[in-house]
Amino acid sequence: MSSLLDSLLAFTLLYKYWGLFGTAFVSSLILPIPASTLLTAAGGFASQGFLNIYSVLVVTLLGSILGDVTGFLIARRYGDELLHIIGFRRLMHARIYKETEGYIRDFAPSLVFLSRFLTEVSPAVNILAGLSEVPFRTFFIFASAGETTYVLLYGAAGYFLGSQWENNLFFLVKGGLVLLTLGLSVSLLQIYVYRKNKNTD
Amino acid sequence: MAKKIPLLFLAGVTLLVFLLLLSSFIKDLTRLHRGGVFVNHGLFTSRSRPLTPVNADMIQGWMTFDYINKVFQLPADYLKTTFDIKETSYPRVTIAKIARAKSESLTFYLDAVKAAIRAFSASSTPH
Repeated sequence: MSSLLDSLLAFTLLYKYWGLFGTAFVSSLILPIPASTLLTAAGGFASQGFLNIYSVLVVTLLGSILGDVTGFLIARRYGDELLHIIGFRRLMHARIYKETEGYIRDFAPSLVFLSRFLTEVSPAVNILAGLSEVPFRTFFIFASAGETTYVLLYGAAGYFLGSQWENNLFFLVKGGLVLLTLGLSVSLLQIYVYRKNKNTD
Repeated sequence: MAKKIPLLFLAGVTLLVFLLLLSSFIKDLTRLHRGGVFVNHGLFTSRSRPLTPVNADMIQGWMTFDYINKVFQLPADYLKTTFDIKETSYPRVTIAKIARAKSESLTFYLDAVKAAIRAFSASSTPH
């Protein structure tokens, strides 16, 4: 197993619920760390009696939602200024940027919901949703619904795999790929519909 | 039109890959279920399944003594005494850290911990 994952697992065993909250928050806010594997492992630890499964689910859910909302609000409040400062002024006036903003605004519910399962891209979606000025209410409802489903799926997988979670990582990776291809298919179809509607207008 | 065809084609291909992966995932799920891999927890009872010495082979360097004591149901000071651990952070310390502190190889130390767990279980099991 990778040394990063080993360190994160040790961190979870040492700091228990605070560790889980922290990693869920950071992974939702900015860092693409292996949060799904960590959540599955925490479910496994709960299965063995080291942690409580309900506390694992609640704490991870709270950390994830708080990370999503923080990323969204920072992008909405300071995103444009930050992009100007770091030299992306030209990008902000580009056609592709405007098109992306329009697409995100039009398909915010499904995009926000499905991206929760792809922990590597969800921080970027939070920032783009904030920059595109997706209404906070819409973002919050669909991010919370997506995170709840994600936490229940991976937490329960770990809980029912118990001490076998590590030997069945292939099963979890395949589950992740299923969700990734589903998300990609839906996004591509939505982009197609978005472009078609735009051309009709 | 030329731009739309590749997008639709790409969506079709990813949808096909999704269906193939989903079918393979369901097969794996069924296989694991039939193989008895899933732990049969009572729903909503949060019943835990502590480990037995048979599971001692799963011990790894990132695990803490706190965790090992709990899941193998060992007395809190058993491993501390057995390995003469002086660290004040015990049991909230990883096996890898203690092995490094004692300048021993991790593999050697892990084998010793596994043996100690099996020995404890053998001594506490009534003959």
